[in-house]
Amino acid sequence: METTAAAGAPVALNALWLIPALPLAGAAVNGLRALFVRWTPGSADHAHDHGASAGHGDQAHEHDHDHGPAGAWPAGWIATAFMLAAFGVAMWAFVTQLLPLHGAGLTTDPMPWIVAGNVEIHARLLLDPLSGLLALVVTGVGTLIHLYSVGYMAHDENRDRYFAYLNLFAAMMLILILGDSLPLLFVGWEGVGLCSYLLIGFWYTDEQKAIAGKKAFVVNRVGDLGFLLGMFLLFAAAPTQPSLTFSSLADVAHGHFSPILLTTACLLLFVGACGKSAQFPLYIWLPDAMAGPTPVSALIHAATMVTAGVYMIARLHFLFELAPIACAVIASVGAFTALFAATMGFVQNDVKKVLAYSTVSQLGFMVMAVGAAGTGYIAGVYHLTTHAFFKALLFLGSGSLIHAMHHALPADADPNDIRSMGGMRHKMPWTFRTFIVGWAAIAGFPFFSGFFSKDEVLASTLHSERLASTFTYLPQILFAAGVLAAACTAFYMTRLLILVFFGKPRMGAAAEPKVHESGWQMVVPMVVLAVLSALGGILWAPLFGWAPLEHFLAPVIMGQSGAFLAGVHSAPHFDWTPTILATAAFVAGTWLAHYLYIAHPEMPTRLAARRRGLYRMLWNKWFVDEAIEGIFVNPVRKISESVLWKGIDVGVIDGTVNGVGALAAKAGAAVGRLQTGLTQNYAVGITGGVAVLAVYVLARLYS
Amino acid sequence: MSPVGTQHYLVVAGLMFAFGALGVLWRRNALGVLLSVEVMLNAGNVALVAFARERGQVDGQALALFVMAVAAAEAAVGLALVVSVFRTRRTVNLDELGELRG
Amino acid sequence: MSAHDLVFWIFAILAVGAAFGVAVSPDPLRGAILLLLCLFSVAGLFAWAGAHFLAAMQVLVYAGAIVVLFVFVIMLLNLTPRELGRNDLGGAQWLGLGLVVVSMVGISAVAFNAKAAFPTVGKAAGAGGTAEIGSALLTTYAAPFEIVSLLLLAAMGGAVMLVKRDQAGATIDAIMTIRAKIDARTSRAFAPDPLQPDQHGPPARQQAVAGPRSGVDDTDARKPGGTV
Repeated sequence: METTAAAGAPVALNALWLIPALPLAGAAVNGLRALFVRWTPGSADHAHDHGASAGHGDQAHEHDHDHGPAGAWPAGWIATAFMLAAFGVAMWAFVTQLLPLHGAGLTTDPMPWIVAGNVEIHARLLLDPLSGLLALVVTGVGTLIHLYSVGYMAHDENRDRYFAYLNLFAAMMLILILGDSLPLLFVGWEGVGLCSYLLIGFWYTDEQKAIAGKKAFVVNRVGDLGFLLGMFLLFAAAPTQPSLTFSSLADVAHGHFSPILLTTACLLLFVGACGKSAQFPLYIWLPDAMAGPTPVSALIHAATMVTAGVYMIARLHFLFELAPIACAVIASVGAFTALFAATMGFVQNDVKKVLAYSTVSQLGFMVMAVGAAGTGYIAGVYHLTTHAFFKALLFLGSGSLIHAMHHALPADADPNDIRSMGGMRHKMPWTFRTFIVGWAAIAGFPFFSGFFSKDEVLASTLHSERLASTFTYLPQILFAAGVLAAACTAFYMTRLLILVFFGKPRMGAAAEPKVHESGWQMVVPMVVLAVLSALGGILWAPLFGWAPLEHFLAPVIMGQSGAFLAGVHSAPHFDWTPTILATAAFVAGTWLAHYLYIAHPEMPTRLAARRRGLYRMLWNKWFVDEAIEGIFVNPVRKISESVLWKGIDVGVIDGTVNGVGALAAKAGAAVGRLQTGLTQNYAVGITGGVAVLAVYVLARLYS
Repeated sequence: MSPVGTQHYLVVAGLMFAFGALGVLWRRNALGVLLSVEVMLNAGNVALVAFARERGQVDGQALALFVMAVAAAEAAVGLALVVSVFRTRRTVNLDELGELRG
Repeated sequence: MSAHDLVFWIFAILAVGAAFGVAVSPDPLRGAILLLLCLFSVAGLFAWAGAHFLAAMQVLVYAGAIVVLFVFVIMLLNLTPRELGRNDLGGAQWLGLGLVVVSMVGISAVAFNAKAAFPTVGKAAGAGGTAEIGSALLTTYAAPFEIVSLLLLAAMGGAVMLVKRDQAGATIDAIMTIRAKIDARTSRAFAPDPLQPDQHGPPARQQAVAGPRSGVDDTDARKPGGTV
């Protein structure tokens, strides 16, 4: 492991390959076991699902080795160990190798991958400040969630398959983050999409869950098409260096690409980001993705995969910087999504759905930030990091709640429904404590991590030069939308908090005694994340003039040349406007929720009755799913059925194939008519043939 | 007109053969077919005799004699067949004797 | 053209014309008579070519025995016109006719063009006498001579076998079984009485008619038979 430093040039560190390789190995171990050792045809083990045995608590988890055909195989511990190792390597590389470089990056030796003609795409990993931060987030939060899953999935007989998928996902996500070229990023991009599908539809015997997985995959695919087209456009336009590494793209971007080409490519890439990061209108898969196990929702759909789009835009900042129109579109879509999704959180009764729409909304914030360009890239990444902490925490908390409710309620009741929860703060104290920390972070309680990151997002939007260059008042409009969305966020999160943890228990007298706190494997990760959510503001708090994150990421955003970016530094003096307004939004939202759910609990029902139409729109998620189904899905299905299947497949292709057979049969029948059975007819044929031959021979002889 | 030579004989033989073949292929009556076969055989004999005459040898005539004998045998057997078929099928119409039809 | 050649021409034209008549005459008896004429003409041609013995044999054997045999059988069978079969030209027969004629025209053309290969012989070279043929038959062609006599013997035996009625009617029974199977397959009723071949009543004959046959002749509709 030489670290030969050249000024500004990347430093070689081949140990980087370990970071994605370790989870991949874990996936292989668990996956191969699931495939070959466990599976015996006709095994009659009944589905030992999640709620079979009573008596939870800390002691019961020692018995999880004996449940189900997964048997005593410690799938979860193996997976967690691999993740922990990956985190260790990442931390080591980050602290000892990267930090001393002050902005340069560490790379591996390039591995030849696609070599055809003059196209040479090598696989190479890059650990620079941006990818290093995200690698730590992914491995760190990932390890915590793996640990949580050990407890959560203790009684699932398919848990070795689960952990294999989870490790595979982590490996793919790390490839996405650490890849140094667009194609390698895309490999990870596709890989996480696949793992998302596998994990959402993990309990595939339930048809609804399988359909949800399929929906996620298909909608992601739509985004991937945009990504591919953008990548191809860049490939075709890059004059001399068709290798699509980020450094080579950065070199050619300034001056070689025409503005139209850049804008088109950026918009296409943004379509891909929309699919992955669940922006309007490609967000529809995320609420359905809650069909998967809750740790999956926490890891994939809160902390990591959905942030891939934001990461990609930040990575390619040099392209987006040069396309102000694309920036405006991105920021607008982000702001719209933030507000739009927040409204849908008002009336949801499924705890995970509330969190899902909250994720879409927060992703909208991040996208708005990276659309704003300039410091927005750093702000977006910052919010990405804090969101990973508090959203994962919130999801894990909800998982804890669901786990408890599942054991308490009868089998046909919905354990996710918050209407049957209430008063949980007494029954599940640790869950309550960690959850309220998460609430504070997401709602924007001053000095928690979310407060700072949301502040930065709003500030960078308001001060955005790129946005102002397209339309003077665009920054202000988007800023206002962001503030409003922040208020909505505070409102619905407070609503959730109140309905679940406060008030009287609503689960019924039979179920009430059975609700108890979760085991240590589930509580410890929540506590760790709570600490991170509370103290995450330490990364960047301009309020106090403290900006280590900005200085850390600035070299990446400014690039090696650093010449063509403007407005990267923070404003000379601190602007109080966003902070004040964001805090006001927090207070307003929280107060409104308190008003409606604690002070006057009868109000929500009355409001819903009086505003039936609006309530219906919110309840049905503004009918977006139905619209998309009507516009895109049903016509395609109908065309598939009547034109492609009946028309072409059955009519043309089957017709041709069968027609050939029928033709052969008819030809045979026609020829068969020669067999009259009348010998004279045969004799005619013979004579005719002889005559022809004789004429021919004689003509040859005498010509 | 040139003096008669072998080629005239050959033409005669050819024409007779052609008409005999025509009859064989065309007639529906089994007896008519047998008659036409005789015509064909005779045509062959004419050609043989023509060549024998040209070469001054007697081999062609001997061969013609053999042909005649074979023709006689064939006519006998053929007629016996016709009689036999007529007995069972009550017809000598070749159109109706098509069991070989496949 | 000398008178010598004229004789040839007369015989030639007669032979060819009679041959054509044999091919086309509807009535087999008329065909047999025309065959007789044809054979006589051919005998004349043989004699003109100097094959006197052969000419005599032609008249004796062919005209005198074979044609007589033909006439016997024709008279014996005593066929009705329907049994004779139709006589008009079918579709593919045109093809056969055309091919035959064309090929023969070709051969004729070739024959005439190959004049160089056929020297004109003025007179018979003394060959054709009975003595020469006899010695040839018994020396050079002794083996074929014997074999042909065996052949004649076999033919005789075969002819007798074919028309013999066996005592118990086993052959007829076998034929009847086969015929019954054929008719069952083709679903036609058919029950003549083979032991009385002289019965020519219409009922038996009707059922002997074959159904429509798809074949190279496309005039099935005009076939005699069918539903009478």
